[in-house]
Amino acid sequence: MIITKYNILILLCTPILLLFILRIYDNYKRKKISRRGLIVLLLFWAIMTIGILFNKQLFEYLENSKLIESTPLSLYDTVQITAIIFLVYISFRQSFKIEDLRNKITKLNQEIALEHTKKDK
Amino acid sequence: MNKKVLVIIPAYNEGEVLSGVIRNIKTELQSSKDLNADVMVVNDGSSDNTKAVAEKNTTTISHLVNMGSGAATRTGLEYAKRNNYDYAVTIDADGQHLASDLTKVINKLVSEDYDLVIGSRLLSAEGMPSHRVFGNKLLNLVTGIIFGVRVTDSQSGLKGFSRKAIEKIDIRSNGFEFCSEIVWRAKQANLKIIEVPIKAVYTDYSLAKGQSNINALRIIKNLIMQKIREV
Repeated sequence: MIITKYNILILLCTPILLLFILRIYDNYKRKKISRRGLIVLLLFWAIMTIGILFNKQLFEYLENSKLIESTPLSLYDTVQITAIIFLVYISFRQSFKIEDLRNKITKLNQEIALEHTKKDK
Repeated sequence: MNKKVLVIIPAYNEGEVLSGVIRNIKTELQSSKDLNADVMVVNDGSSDNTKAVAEKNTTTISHLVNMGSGAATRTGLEYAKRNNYDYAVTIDADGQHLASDLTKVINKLVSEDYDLVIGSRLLSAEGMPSHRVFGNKLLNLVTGIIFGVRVTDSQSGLKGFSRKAIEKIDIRSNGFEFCSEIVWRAKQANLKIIEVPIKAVYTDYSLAKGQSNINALRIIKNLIMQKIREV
């Protein structure tokens, strides 16, 4: 295989994307996400993976259709795209974690409050 | 009638008007002799004297930290569930609701077997400032689009719950978007919903305390996020 910048992008991103997909499936198995959540997240990351695997064809199609007027992919672009994918994943993960923590704090706050109810005299 | 009713007043920094609100509610409930009703304040981590005022006047539950009116309402409903109340009614702490409307909601719950009774300020929007009418109608529209439920006042703080509704409505949002969420959860649980016209009293105090139209945009954002999270 000739190492083009498109191939470097595939080599950098595909393992990361596959890891994300495996983690999502693992979360589903551990009942952290619902079946619908699994489908939506898998669909999202599957589209991303397909986009990365066929990045050259995608770039050429967009350019031929005059939808973009961009210079061909640079090495810097490959690193940037990988970083963006990673950041999207991190932001997804953090938002789920924050939501989970928020629910736990609310529950804790509620339980403490209910235990210390001051009855009307 | 021996049915137990719990009146829940979620309050955040309402020390200025709270004792008057509790007094009005208690007086109204005492005049309805066939009601076995208790009044409870859920102090949502207020930084003023709300907690002291509430504890002096009625049963009080205090959140350690401020979590939002949705969280306070959920705590109140949880208390009703654990203490076997047959009905629960929520009412705003800023004094914008008339105590007589509270009885109207309770009577509708008890006599007509509805699960969720919403006191609607917009069935007759008389006296409501036009910017409030606009904000509320916008939120009704969004509630209808996102959750597929049509009501005239999704944001009303005066709501009545049957025992079935107390058990089945599981509010997850902490902020003001819980109002729309309640209607949505009621629809999901196939509960019987009805609206009764109520009158809102707008004073300088309640206008300053209530939701602004900027808040309405935040509520819309949170409702969309809530819907996404449900996926």
